[in-house]
Amino acid sequence: MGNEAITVSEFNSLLNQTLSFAYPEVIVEGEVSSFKVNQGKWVFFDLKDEDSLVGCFITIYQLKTELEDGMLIRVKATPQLTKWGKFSLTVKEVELAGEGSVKRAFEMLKAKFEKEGLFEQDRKRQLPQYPQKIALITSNQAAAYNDFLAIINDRWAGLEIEHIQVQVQGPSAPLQIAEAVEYINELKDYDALVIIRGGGSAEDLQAFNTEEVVRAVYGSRVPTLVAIGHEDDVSLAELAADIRGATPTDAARRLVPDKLELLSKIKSDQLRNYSAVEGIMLKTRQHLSGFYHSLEVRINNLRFDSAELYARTTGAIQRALEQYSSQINLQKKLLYGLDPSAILSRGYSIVRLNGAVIKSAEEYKSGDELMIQLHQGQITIKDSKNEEKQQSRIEF
Amino acid sequence: MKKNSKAESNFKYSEAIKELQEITEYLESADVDLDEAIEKFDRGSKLAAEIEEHLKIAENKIKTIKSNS
Repeated sequence: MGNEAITVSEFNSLLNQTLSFAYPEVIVEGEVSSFKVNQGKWVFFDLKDEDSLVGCFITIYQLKTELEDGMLIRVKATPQLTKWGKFSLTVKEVELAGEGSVKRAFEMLKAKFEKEGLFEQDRKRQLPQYPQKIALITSNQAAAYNDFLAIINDRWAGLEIEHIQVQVQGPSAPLQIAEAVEYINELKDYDALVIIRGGGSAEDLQAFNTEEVVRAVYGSRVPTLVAIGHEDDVSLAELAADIRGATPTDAARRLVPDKLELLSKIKSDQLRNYSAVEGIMLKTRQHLSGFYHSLEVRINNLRFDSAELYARTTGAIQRALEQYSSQINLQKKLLYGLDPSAILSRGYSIVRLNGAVIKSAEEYKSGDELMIQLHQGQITIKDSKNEEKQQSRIEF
Repeated sequence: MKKNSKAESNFKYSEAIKELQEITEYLESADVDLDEAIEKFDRGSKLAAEIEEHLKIAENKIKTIKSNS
């Protein structure tokens, strides 16, 4: 024990320095066992093969794939001795290895998203029928990119495409794709967001089955069209999209209409419009001729009505005039009969005493002066021969 | 080409096609005034010509942006 002792902490620290110098980063492949999550944050599992086992640690935030015991995975990690003296791998990235693991992780994530409602049909939106500007997230290295553009150019004209260049496979693909989706959504200026990738192995297409990408697609405010791999490959990103294209070329067909079809529709619309206007002209002509005819009938009726009215009116006036005239004559006769001078002409006289008409001999007294009005002229009688006069008066 | 690109920026297929469809529906509806029908027909013909022209001359444009990651 001649050497100077170091503390346990110093020993651990020294060993960690040595490890980080010798193995700054290791990639280890193995089967997951004893997988567990503590406090919803810390993930612990063992990685094993037939003979050996090593403990692993990762935070839940760094773990981008579903894991369970039995899965074959590859981890990128840093070997470390903890302060409790336990040796473990601090994992930075987890990659699924082998078809079985990929398939299992896919099923687990799919079940989780289904439960959350990420694939609900009710929330699917329609793409605009005639898009003007779209965003395209893919790699221009992929054949899918050229296939997609070739179909767009065949079918449509005047589309503005903003292409976001991303990796479509490998560890950095999910983040790049998710960030590209977010970037497009910040700009908001797009009719549709298209994500495409050509065919490949299950591992190649894995990025489109990651939580990051699926949630980004699900959360996009811009309507999404996603087409990954061949027709039989159905990725979770496609299930979360508003529209799924079976292949990238199918996506192009779904995105834009066919200009030849549109041109022929426009031509047929114009023919329809033309025949509609012709129909309207014919209808107007018929309507006008009907109107003139009815106007003519009405004018003739009015003419007839007015002649009849004239005859009726003049007849009525004539009759009224005749009636008035005979009434006037009758009145005249009556008035004439009542005229005192007319009575005098028939030989009657009016006797007045002091200007007043007397109607009885009793009103006369001897000596009164009587005035007799005849038809022509008048006689005044004084009473000098009283008896005679009186006699003649009585006779009268 | 410059003239075309200016025209393209102001032209919207969706609006032109929608208007053309509305004109067709209007002309085929029951009570239509002849003067208005002729006016609409002229407008429809103009729209159809514009759509056709754009489909023939406009180009699809692509601009690539690199991802930051």
